[in-house]
Amino acid sequence: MSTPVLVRPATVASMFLATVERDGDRLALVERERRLTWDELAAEATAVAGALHARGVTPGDGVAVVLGNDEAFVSSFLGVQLAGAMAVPLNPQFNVEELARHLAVAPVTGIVAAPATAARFTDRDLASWVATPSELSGTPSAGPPVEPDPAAPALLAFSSGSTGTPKGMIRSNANLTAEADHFTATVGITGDDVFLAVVALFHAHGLGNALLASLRSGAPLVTGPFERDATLAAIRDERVTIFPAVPFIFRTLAETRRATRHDLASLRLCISAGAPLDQETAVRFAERFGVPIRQLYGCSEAGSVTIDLAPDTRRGSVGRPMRGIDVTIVDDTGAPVAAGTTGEITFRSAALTAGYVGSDATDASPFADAWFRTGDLGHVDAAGDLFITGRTKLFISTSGYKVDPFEVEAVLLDQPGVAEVVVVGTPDERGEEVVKAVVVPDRADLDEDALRTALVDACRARLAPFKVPRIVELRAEIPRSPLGKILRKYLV
Amino acid sequence: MHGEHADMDARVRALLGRRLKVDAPERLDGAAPLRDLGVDSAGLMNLVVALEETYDIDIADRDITVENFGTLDAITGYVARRAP
Repeated sequence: MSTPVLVRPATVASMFLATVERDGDRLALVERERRLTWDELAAEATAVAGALHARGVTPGDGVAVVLGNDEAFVSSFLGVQLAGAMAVPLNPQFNVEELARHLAVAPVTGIVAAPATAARFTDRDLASWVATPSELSGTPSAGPPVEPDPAAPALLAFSSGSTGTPKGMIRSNANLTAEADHFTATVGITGDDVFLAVVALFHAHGLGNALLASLRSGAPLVTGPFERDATLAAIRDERVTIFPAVPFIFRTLAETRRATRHDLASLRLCISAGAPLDQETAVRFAERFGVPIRQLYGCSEAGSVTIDLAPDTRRGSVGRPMRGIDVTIVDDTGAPVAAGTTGEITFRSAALTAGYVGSDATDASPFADAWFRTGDLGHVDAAGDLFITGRTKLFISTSGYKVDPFEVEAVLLDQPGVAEVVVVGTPDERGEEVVKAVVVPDRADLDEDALRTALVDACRARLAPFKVPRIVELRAEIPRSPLGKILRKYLV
Repeated sequence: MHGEHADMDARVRALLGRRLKVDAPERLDGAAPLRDLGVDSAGLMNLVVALEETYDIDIADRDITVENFGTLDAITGYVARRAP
């Protein structure tokens, strides 16, 4: 049976092709009724690469992949890699304005999108072409061979910026193959494992801890959207062993009455990332299904960084560094602190991006001395386990997505009747954060209901659904400290 | 509104307020699309789990459609059909 090889492949394409060579007739991908072997997936990806070449894509070009969790995402992502180009995965829930904002940071040659998504932006000049996956299939040849170059860009990822604009970063082929090695070696993935990705493949968690790990190890990938019945059936029927998800998904399964221990009996590793896992969900899930949820800590800049594999998962730790990664906690001056002392989490990793692109390219401060400053606060205990205790950044984690409050504030401030606005995350009954906007109207005699409706409508027109405030609270003023700092804790 | 139905309507409104933090649920237009309140698919799943617990029913994912869950009125009608 296949196991990860020791020599690191030069590129994502060569990592994929090595697995195809080794495991060609074994199962690679399952999406609903579609089942592809590695050979069949290679044929699909080769056809995409050929079609991209025919459309003028050359090595180094960016190609946006605006697709959900399906076979088309995987074959498009791999086709881009085989063409030597750079994949720019974007959320298919984005509306045209959000797509335009992202593509302004990272111009692309073309866009691959499902027909319904493509129809939303065909009248906008976002790229020189827009194609659906079926328009990129059926090409018999891959185009000219591409010289494997570890330094070549493979992925342009985005994280929420602190200025209301998306923050883009290029990850090289070497970054992504290192990430795949760190993860598969640390958790011991073999070709006998089966991944289930119902978390978005266009995000770091799904891409790194499911797709790249599958490509590296030859373990098949089962994918689709998160739907309780379909997800439970997939775990049971496909004998899924590795399940990367987010707290929302684990919480929903733990609360779903008809989910049985039998359904989840094949799982050996449940990995939670994207937001802190609450203790109640962790305990309830482990008690009901007999498998603990492991917390993983990672970021768009480098993929996964630490994972908790200790026997006792009840301590709330995100565990220890993945193989090949060093973590250090530092104080305000950048000096390492003693065990147990809280400071900023920094790490160094071969998977780390070289820096940001676009207007954020000048922001080199997080990358000083090869140690990346995450902006997250935490401490390492005497045993070496990392605990995250806070964020120096202000992102809101909702339904597995990160929302940049400044992006929502920028939309609201554009609306008539708004003098001031602060957007925060507030916990709902299950501890899930929801987006809340606290708005100071510019005059007292406004119709409050009409203003609330207008503000939500404006957000719906310009933002993806998960960013639209669930709560709009009107206040006479925003609470501030004597130094003028917004006191967010009084707004939650 | 029928007494029993009015009671169910009030309980579903209370769930929307408590579980999804929807503003002023008691004043919500029963025919207004929940999407317009910022209720996304994750929020809807949250509500479905709560309805299962509250009314002791299993709701199949194939039943989670716009027809059954698109508005407050639709949800109340669906639960009334399913609840014992």
